[in-house]
Amino acid sequence: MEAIPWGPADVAAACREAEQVGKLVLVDFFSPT
Amino acid sequence: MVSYREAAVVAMITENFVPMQIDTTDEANAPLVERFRQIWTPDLRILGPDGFEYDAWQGYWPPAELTARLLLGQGRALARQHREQDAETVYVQILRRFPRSYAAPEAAYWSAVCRYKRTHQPNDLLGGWRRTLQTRYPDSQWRSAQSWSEPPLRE
Repeated sequence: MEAIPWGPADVAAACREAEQVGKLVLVDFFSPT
Repeated sequence: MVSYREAAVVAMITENFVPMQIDTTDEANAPLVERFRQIWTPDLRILGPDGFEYDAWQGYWPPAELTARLLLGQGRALARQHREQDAETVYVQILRRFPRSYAAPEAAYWSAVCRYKRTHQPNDLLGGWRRTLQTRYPDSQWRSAQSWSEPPLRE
């Protein structure tokens, strides 16, 4: 089964990638349970 | 969140977003928690490549609702980037795929706005609202948001 390719907690890196690929950044704040 | 296991949610996120997770219990992430004024989980944000926050919502959303909500966030971002045609396409997709979702009434409101901003034809705005909000979502908050355009009720 495919999984969401979550990236690490690095907003700047995610924004750079979003710029390169023409997407938006989705940030998921979570707490492990 | 269990909704992340659903294929439709995975596809939606993978195709349209650069996804990243922040563990709020990790002390190393405290500066990000502070920067985003984050207080509760789950908490989802949609950012532009410049870091601008276009959308935010909290709490658990079942798979279909989450997919619709992600589309709504995408539409909000596109509209605020003045990409009205792209935004309208996303809003219409919500109305077609998820007509009973929580996101649908807002999508109906903004799809008419986006069309009007492109065409400047009043009927695209007022007629769009009439065809969707007033008929399909008469009790929604977004019907109320356009209620100034309706004739006053007779007592």
